[in-house]
Amino acid sequence: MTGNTPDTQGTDEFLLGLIRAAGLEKTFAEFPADVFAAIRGATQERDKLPACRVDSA
Amino acid sequence: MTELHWLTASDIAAAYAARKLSPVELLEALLARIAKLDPTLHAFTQLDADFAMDAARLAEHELFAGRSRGRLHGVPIGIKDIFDVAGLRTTCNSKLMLDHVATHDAHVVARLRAAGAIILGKLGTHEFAIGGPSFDLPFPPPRNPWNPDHHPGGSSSGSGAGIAAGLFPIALGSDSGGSVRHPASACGIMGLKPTYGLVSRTGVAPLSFTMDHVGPMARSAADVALLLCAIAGHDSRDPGSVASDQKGFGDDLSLDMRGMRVGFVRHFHEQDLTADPEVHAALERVAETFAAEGATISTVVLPPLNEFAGVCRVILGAEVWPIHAERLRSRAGDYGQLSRQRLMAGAFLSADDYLRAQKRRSEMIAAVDEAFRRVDILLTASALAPPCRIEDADMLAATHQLQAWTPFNVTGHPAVSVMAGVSRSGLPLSAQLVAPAFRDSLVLKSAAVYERSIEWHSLRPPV
Repeated sequence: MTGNTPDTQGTDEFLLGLIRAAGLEKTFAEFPADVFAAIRGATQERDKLPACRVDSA
Repeated sequence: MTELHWLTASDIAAAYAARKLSPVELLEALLARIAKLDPTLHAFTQLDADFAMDAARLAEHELFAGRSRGRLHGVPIGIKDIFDVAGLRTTCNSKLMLDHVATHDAHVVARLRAAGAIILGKLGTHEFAIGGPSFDLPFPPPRNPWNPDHHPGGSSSGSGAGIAAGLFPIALGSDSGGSVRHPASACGIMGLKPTYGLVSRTGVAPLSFTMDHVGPMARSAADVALLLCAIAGHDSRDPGSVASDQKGFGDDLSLDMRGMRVGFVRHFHEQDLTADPEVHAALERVAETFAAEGATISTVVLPPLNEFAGVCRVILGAEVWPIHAERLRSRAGDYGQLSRQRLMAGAFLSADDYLRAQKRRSEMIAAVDEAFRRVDILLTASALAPPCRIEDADMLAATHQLQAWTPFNVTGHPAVSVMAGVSRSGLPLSAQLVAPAFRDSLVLKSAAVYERSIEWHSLRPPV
């Protein structure tokens, strides 16, 4: 994920790869806006995560 | 006597013991009120009036024969429609579940039946406790009794609306990111998210196995405690269940606040997010109330709200995705749109995201535990704004994150939402009290002190 906000105009191979990896091609064909909203939601929540060390206790 | 529909469960138990009221008499009054109000409020997805009346007759027979099973015997209760109740559908307000009839009771429902409670039926919820309020689901969203044009909070929406409207005195809800405390806040009642692990989730549709909590909801601290007594306890079928020695939550709610140290988490509603001015003023009044009772008030700083929200949603998203993945691939059209969007987000999170969120979570738990070395309870905002109009999708989206509930799903500490006033527009305001893990009795005692000190708990919505 690039962290960029995707939109229906900006579909690229990277996003389609994510959708294929999730097995959501059929769902994407039926509900493209909802799949993009889900990607946007995941990106926004991930971006709220603070930097934290994961290599120590 | 108070109108029957406004009796608390504790009042009802006392009236039964004094032979001033019978379970059948009470149930008839509640069924009449449900018939009058529920066509507007939509608190129920399924009302099982015949079964409830049979149970009321049996309770009456047993109570009047001197065979009381305890203080919930003969007390009507509503159950959120994500809990299994044997013989009734567990629809989760989803087209995907409309034909699913439960064959067994959820662990907590079985405990309530054993205690003699009368199960009235199933209560309205967001789809799978996540997608709502929505108008594209099998059942319409419940409405707020203080103003039916407004959202009653969710996802335990029917539980909050029904208790506030006097359709039943107590109910069960579930809370993975605020779903007990949001409707409690919006409807002006009390809702407790217990310590993680105190109450079993067996037989309850899951969202997040590390953040799902079953919680009691009622119009008083005594009733929340009474219900918690009945449902708390270890269950080996729930891997998150903890063998706690906490008992007798409702035995004694008295608490001398003199010398108690209240930590006021102001930055949640003053810096991290901006509370509605009326909510801000209500929170200051709660602090003043505790100070007048003899507590010392200090300011406590925790990690910022948006970090808690991010951790909560990444963990929830990652944990809920595997539950729904196959159906989202094959039957996505059978979900409501909000569920579809929110449940699919987990498909686009990585193991790295999940692990980073869990790592930060452990630091957040330590930060809250550290705060409890300096104070006895925390006072925070609950909802940061009064409930908005339910048909205003833009406002619903804008206010969705105006809350301070997710921190304690992340950390697991017990947290109760209490009513803290009424806005100029006639809608409830709220505050949240939090205690150290497995000090659920302390958070309820603190809520009871506050309840006794103010008049809000005696106010009723105009229904």
